[in-house]
Amino acid sequence: MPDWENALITPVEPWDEPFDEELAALLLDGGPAELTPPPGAFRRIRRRAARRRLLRAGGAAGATAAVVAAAALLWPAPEAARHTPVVPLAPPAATSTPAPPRATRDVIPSPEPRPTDDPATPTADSPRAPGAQTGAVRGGGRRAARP
Amino acid sequence: MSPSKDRAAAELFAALYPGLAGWCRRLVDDDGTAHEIASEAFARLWAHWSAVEEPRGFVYVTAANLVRDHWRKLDRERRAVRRAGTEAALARQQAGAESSVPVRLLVQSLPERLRTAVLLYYYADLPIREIAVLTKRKEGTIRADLHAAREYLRAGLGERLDHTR
Repeated sequence: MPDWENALITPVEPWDEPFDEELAALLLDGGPAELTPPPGAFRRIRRRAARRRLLRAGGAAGATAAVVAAAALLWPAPEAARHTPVVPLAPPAATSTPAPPRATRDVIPSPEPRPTDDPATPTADSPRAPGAQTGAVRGGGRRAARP
Repeated sequence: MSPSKDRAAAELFAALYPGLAGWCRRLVDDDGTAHEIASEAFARLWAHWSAVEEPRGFVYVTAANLVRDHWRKLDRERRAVRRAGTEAALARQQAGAESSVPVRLLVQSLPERLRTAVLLYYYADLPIREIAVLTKRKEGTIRADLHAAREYLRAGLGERLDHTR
């Protein structure tokens, strides 16, 4: 007869073994089938469950608030990111002789930044070349204002 | 809580609590612990009631986990007592205990997977299909676990089983 009990394959109906009822009786022997609940147990347990539901709801709300606060700190509002300083426009200077436009660069706003008082910052439109500050190297012609 | 829900909870409690507490009493040492475990199982059920589909299975699985935790705590305490050198007192205590205690200790000594199946099948009288749903395992696996558990218990209860035939 095959040794089903030690087979690796699970038997088809293992609970039909002859000892099942006896084993069940032995396992269940010696104890009451039921225990009457103590007085007031139902209300006490209901209150305990209600407190846990409240704590869980409060915990969920607190966690949500914490997430919103962290998001506000990490990703600020768009308006704050766009705050960049704007260079104010200076008023036109009042002079008796018409000055060439280049001499009063600050009057006409231009989209490109232009050097004003800093002779050491040459640009493509600057009438001054490197070394022109010394005055004697390249000649005075380069100092003439260009129309 | 609405009156209808309260009424439904009261009916469920009246129907399930006595059997659950009696089931727990077979597995623990005293009525007080049995009531504590049964009460805690119901408290957890009602704290998550809207999400529970099968209340009876839920409270029995919850109680089985609580019984397991209770046994682990007792094991830790027994080990501590042994280390303190009171083995003789323990032997006297165990010798005078009820005849069902060794059976319970055998069940307690099962691996957790097998113990859960035995508790729910024999003690809680749940069908295998429901045990499979509650433990999220296949019915064939539950049957195999019950078979293995029966072999283990039969080996431990050999004389008693022969006596009952």
